[in-house]
Amino acid sequence: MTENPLDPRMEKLVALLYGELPAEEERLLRLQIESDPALRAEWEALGGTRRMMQAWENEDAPPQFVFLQEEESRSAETRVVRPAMPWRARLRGMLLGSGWAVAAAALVVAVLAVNDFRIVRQDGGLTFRFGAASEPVASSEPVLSSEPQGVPLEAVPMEPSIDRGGSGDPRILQASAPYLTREEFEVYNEGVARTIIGLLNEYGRQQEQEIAGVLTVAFGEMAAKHGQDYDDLRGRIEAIRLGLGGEQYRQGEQVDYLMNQNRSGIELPVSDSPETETKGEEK
Amino acid sequence: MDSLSDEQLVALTQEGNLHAFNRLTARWEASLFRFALRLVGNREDARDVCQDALMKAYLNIQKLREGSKFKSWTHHIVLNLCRDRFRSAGARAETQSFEEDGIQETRVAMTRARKEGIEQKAEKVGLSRLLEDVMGKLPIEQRSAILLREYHGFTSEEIAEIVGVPAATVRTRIFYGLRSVRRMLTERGIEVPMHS
Repeated sequence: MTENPLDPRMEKLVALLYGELPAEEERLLRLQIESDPALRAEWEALGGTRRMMQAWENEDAPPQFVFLQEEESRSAETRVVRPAMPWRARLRGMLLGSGWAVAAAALVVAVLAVNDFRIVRQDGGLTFRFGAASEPVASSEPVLSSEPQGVPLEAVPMEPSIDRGGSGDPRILQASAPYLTREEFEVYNEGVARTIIGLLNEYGRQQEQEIAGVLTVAFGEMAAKHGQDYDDLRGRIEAIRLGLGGEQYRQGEQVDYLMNQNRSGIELPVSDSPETETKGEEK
Repeated sequence: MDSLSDEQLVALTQEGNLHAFNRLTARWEASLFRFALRLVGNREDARDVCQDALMKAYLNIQKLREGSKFKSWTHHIVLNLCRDRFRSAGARAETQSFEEDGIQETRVAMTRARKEGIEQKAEKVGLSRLLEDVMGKLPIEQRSAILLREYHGFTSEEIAEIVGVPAATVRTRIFYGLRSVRRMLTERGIEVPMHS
């Protein structure tokens, strides 16, 4: 960028504007401003513009920059906050990432099914029940009231309740069956949890045994394949060796034999040379 | 450590004391960030520039002979990084061709003002936004000189050290810059008062 020549007084005006002019120079310049209308106009314009510049606000809070030691930065890296995942992705991750979670859930369902767990909607409330479903009220028996039997649900509107079966009469059962208390429910949960843990342990043992079996079979097959490959390879090497040198070896052996025969006075047979044979084959 | 001067903190940093550098950073990060923000015009870029500048400062702290000039030095780094950004992005291509006599820039400003509608523009944005807009159209040399003098308390001599030109040139840039601001504001319908 080129700096155009400027009236030196203008540069001094800026110095005066920001109080950077020595006292004597300032006094002289102020006298000039008083006497020169053009210079005064520039001075006033500069002052007015500078005053207006104060209106440029910058309220943005600056970020803070902190330099960390190497070990601090390393530990900070480990404290990376994972971004929040949508619940669908989280659920998918749980299901896909942990086979144990799926197995446990399946076992819970299985245990509940074995115990004939069911949820009964009753008078606006929910009742959790175990055991066989109650027999429907026989049509021959008189229905005393259309109102629901048993403890009114208004008293415990949404508390889980349970009946353990055992009584043949569903009406009496409904009337006399105590609701499952929280303690009982927790005891039962504990039992279910123990069962699940036992099943999981058993499942783990079985899985380990299966894996060990699979590995043994796989190892055996691999060893057999390895032996077979070794034999194949050896056979191929032998074939190649024979293909390369076998012919000469056999011819050499024959010549030696015939030479020995000749030494013993036997007439040598007329044998074709290899070249003749080859040519004959080509023809 | 808060009571230590820049010079002392720089000396400690040069001896490997990272906490001393953090004190320097805490002391000047606001000024650096606001300078970068006013140069580049957006918070994200300003933050990146500051981060890069502080990293450069830390890595090159051994080269700083006069610790008392840490503030000028880091502002110089910020200015250079902003220049690099403008160069690489070509973001200021239209304003880089401005001549300092103000003829061309006035023409451009008048064209813009006609298009946008002076009165609507003046009503729509506050004076602060308008100043930001006008300052953004100045060449970076004028803009940085005005910013450093007006908002960051550097003297013309200090700015001269930062930008590497004589102090008289700095004052000349400030003069032309302020005159251009006045002209552009007037073109946008803002009456700039005379002040004696």
